[in-house]
This record gives sequence, structure tokens and C-alpha cells, in this order.
Amino acid sequence: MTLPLTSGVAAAAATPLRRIRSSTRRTPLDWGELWRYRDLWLTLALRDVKLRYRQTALGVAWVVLLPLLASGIFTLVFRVVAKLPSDGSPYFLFVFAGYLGWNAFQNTLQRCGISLIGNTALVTKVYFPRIILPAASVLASVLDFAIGVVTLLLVLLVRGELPSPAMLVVVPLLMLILQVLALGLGLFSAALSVRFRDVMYVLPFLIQLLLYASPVAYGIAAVPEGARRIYLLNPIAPLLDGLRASLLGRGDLHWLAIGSSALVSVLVFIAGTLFFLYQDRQYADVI
Amino acid sequence: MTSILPTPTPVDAQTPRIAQGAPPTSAAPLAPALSIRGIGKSYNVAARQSTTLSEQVADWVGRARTSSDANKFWALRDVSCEVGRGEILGLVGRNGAGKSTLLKVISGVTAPTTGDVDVFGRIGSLLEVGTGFHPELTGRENVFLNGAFIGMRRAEIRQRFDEIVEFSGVEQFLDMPIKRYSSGMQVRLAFAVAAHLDADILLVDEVLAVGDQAFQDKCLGKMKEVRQREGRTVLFVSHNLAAVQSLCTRALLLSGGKVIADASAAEVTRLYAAGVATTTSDEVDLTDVPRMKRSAARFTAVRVSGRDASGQPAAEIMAGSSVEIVLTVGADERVKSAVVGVDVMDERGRPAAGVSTDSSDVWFDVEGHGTRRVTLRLHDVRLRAGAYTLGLTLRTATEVLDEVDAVVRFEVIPDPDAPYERWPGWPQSSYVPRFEVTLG
Repeated sequence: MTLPLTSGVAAAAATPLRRIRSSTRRTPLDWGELWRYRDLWLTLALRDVKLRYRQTALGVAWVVLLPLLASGIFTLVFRVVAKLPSDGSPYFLFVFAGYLGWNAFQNTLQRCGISLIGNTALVTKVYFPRIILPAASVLASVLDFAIGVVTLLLVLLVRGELPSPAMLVVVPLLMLILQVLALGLGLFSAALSVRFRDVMYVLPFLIQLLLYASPVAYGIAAVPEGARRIYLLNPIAPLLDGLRASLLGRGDLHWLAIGSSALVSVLVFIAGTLFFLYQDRQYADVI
Repeated sequence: MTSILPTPTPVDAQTPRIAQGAPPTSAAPLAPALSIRGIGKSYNVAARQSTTLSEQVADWVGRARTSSDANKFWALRDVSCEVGRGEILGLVGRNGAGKSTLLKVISGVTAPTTGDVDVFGRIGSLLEVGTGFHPELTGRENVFLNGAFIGMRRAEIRQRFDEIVEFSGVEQFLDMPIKRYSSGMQVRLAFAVAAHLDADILLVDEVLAVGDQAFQDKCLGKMKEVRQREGRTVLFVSHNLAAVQSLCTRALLLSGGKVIADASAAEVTRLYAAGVATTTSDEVDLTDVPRMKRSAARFTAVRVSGRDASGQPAAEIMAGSSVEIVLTVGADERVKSAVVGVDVMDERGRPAAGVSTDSSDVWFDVEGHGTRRVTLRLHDVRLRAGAYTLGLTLRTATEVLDEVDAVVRFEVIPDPDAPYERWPGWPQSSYVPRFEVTLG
């Protein structure tokens, strides 16, 4: 067997590839190392995708079925019973379009939150940049979202109501902001959950609460004019609303609110990352 | 707290400090692979009670937590060592000596409390069985997953895939979920992946304890090959002194988190076998010997003594005479149908003889908070003259309750009237002596 020596060997002679210091408080974000581990991210993300519906009778169909079922229930409760208005689209499609974005947000957040404590054996025994574990949650959520969007577009095609092509840019952009926010919050939750398992109980509750504070089952138009300013402080509200508006091709985008959401998302993401890295040194010992 | 040692620059580190008794192979300074300086690792023993939210917040805003030294357990203290490229360094020591913690610090899994490590090259850890495997994924998918965890690129794994599979010998089961694999098959697959990793420094922690003899030999062979052909560095933790001796160029002996010897593998294994065990025919207390785990029952004492032909206590143990081993077992909770196993190990840690009470159909119960005395009398002991230690195992049909290694040492003296070389049927490897068990 002949083995090509890695570049690491050749470069090893002079400077250490890694320095482990007792004096540092925060694990430095080593971009070179993250790049070397990019395949781990991909493998973990693919693992999540593959595992979701393995040993299920319906398989990948669940990706579409779950949002459809949720939308059905929302339609029943909010349209048939509470008689909430939509934006002019059939209420079911209206909710479905909103739910797809919401689902991508909450899936990432929830999976990030348990990514460390769900992989205790790995955290205590193998070295790799820990941040890869939560970050790997993103791919599966986005993939689910993409499949949902394709389903929605097929339905719209049949109805002859295709949205404007601008959505090809707007939808990915809004999804990106949404994922940055979800990952930022997820990093906080993951780091906290190592010491406080309470996160496992609090997080689903907060997510549930956030669902009602966000335009999924109703539109922003249903929020009283006076309360709308405050309502739009919820950073995911303008994002979900914008996603729905561009998917269904109805309504306007609140760009100012979207802009401030983007800013909040980036700040939350930076803060979450730093918090995660400050806790990083303890994970293996405390988990 | 930082290291009290001066921190050499990486340039200094190129000429490793040769520790006392360094092996002949490192006579010429090697390029460094690892430079370990003053590593200490403490755990907060009272961690659970003291992590209130307010303390946690205080910690985040930067105030140092004031946990008293009394609550700290030092798993490693001031460990320093230079490891050159191509060295195979054995880490030897009892359970709890700090071997695994040291590997964790070096690999970066856990952060050191004091000291620094410079790592010159890519590190790969041979993972414990099952770590990095996902039970629902197939063998094929797990090869990629496991490889990714130890830092391999997908392309790299794809390139080596056939080799990996061939080495593991589980070809037929590649597309089966790994949850249906036997543990032996899992180990083989895990080792196969790691053995094909292009790591410059390979950390191997006790993985060879699993798997059958043939596969263990294959792994040892592979590790030697890895070193000879590719000049990779290996850090190898094992209780198998014979493996350490045949594989390693140099070894560290750890005890209580400190390095107590840094010398050739032969020297260190000899020190270990001699040092950790006491030579005595008195009863040895085993309650304070560190263990990997604490279960419902454990050995509390052992006594080894010689018997002459008529069964009377003898001052010395002569080849061909009898040995009496008295074990005391204590239990917190009632244990049913326990079995005691005794392995007699020679100075190099190779098994010379072994008995287990279940082979003479003796199973015993221990009451909760009770003790039980098990006396094994080994007849006509065919051991060459030399020093031996005992490895003790207490188990039930389903669970290993306690294991203690190399705790008591005894000398066997040759029988002047009947040199063993002349005896017919002298055992060449580990054998099962004729023995009887008495329960008390």
C-alpha cells in the first residue's frame, strides 16, 4: 500500500498545525480548520436527510405530507371555525405557503438545539470543530423547504397563477436570512443545553408561542393597524410574510422591516456563534 | 492558571528534549510530532451542585469561578513530553492513571487546565467501538460518516473504500444497517476506517481490547506497518503489556495523573508490572484501587500464598507446587450467580495461566452489604521461575462487575530437583491449571 503523505506532514516541520492552550477562554474560530472539515458538515447534513424517514412506509412523502396536514388543520381551525381572512388566495394555499417558511425556521432551530446533547458520545470522544454539529441541521430544513416550494408551484401552475419570476431571487434571499436567524438562536440553545437540559423543554414551548406570534395562520393584514409596528418587531414576521407574498405572487414586501430583520438575524448569529465558542471548552467535560 | 514551564517557541521544539532512558531509536533528534508542556487537567468534583444559573452568569461575564481546590480532582498533573515523528509511544498505567484523559487533551476533545500542546500534523483518533457510527445507517454509509469524524475527505474515503472494506472483512453486510452488526463486526469496520486514515499522528485508546485474537493480531500488524512504511506517529494506550512491548519504541508510565517514567517500552512495562503490584503473601486491600466503573459488587481483598505438596502453607511458591488465592468480594446490593476469573500474567503482561470458577461450575451469590470469600487452589502450577501478577474479574452471566489488573505480585522459584525444561507437557502458552474452589 502506498500512501500519499498529506500536506500536513510536509508542512509539519516548522509550525504546529494546531496549538492547544490552557490560557485561552474562547475557542478561536479557525477558518482553515472549518474548511478542512467541510466534508464532515456535508456528511452529517446528508445523514440527517437520509435518516429522517428511513424505515417509514411513506418515506420522503412525509416532507410534503406534514406541512399539508398542518395546513389542513390550520384551515379547519382558523378558516372554518374562526373565519380568518386570507390575502385572496384559497386559505389552504395561503397557510401552506406560510407554513413552509415557518417549518424551515423551526426545524433548524429545534435540531440545532439538540445537536450537542443528541451526540454526547461524539462530543466526549472525538475532536472536530463542534460548531459543525448545529450547522449541519440547516441542509435538511432547506431541502424540505425546496421540495415544499416545488409542490406549491405545481399546484399554482395547475391553477394558472404562477408568481412573478422575481421570486427566484427573493425566496432564496429571505430563506437565507431566516436560516441565519434560526442558526444563531440554535447556537445559543445548543450551547445552553449542554449545562441546562431545561432547554429541551423550554425550546418547543417557545417555538409554539412564536408560531402564534408569526404570520402563518393569518396575514399581517389581519393585525390591527396600530399594533403592526410592534408586531413587525418579531424578526421572522416580515420574512415569513415576504416568503408567502412572493410565493403566491400577491401582496407587497415590507422591505424596511425585512432589512431590519436581516440586521437582527446577523447580530443574533454573531452573538450566538461567540456564545457557542465561549462555551466550547467545556462541552466534553460537562455534557 | 497557566503553565509554570517556559513556553518554547516551535523552533526550540524542533529538537525534542530526550527524556531519561530514551530508547536508542531516538538518538538522532527527530522532527517533532507533539510537544506537550506542563499539561494538567482538573475536574470539578462538586460540579453538579455548584452550577446554579447565577454562577453560570458570573462565569460568562468574566469573573473566575471560585471553586476551592478541595473540590478539584486532578486527572493529569504537569505532564510534559516530546514525541518525535515516527515514534510509537505507549501509554501505560492503571485504570484512572490519566492515559485516556491525556489522549483527549492531545486530540482536542477536552481543554487542558494548565499547559500547552503543539501538534505538528493531522491527528486521527481510533474511536471506541460505536462512536461515530449511526445504528440506522448501513455499513457503507457509516464508513463515510466515521471517516468524516476523524477528518477524512469524502474523496479520500471513496479512493480507499475497497481497501477499507477488504481489511474489515464485512463485504457481504455493507448494505445492512449497522444496528444488525455484531459488535465484533463493528470494531473491525471502525478500525479499518481509521487504519486507512492519512493522519500524521494516530491516537489509539484501548480499542484492541475487543475483537478476536486473529483480528487483534491483524490490527497490531497494521499499526507496525503504518509506522515503518509511512513514518507516522502513534500514541497507544493499552493494558496489554505484550502489545505495548512488541509495538512501541518508547513508553510513558502514568500514575495518579503524573508521568512517573519515560523510557523504552521494555523498561516501562517491567516497571509497571513490578511497581503497581506489591510482592507479598499478606492480604492486599483492594478497596482503594481505581476502577473504570463502580457496580453492585467488587473485590475488596486478595491474598496469594504458596502451599507445599501436603497442602500446608509454604514460604515460597515453587514451580510445580500449589498456589492458594483467597479473594474477598463485597457487595452493596444482592448479586446472584457471580463468577470469579483469575488470570496469571508474566512480567511482560502475557497471560501464563487462567482459571474461572464457572469452569468447575461454581456460581455464588453475595448478599447486599455482605462479603463472600472465594478460595481458589491451583495445583501443580506449571509456571516458569519469575515474577507474576494477577488480573481479577468478577462477573455474572450478563455483566462484568469488577476488573482489577496487576494488583498483587508473586515470585515463582524453580524446583531445584525438577527443572521444568525436563517436564513433559510443559505449557508453551496460557493454560488452565487443575484447580478447586471453596466458598466461605
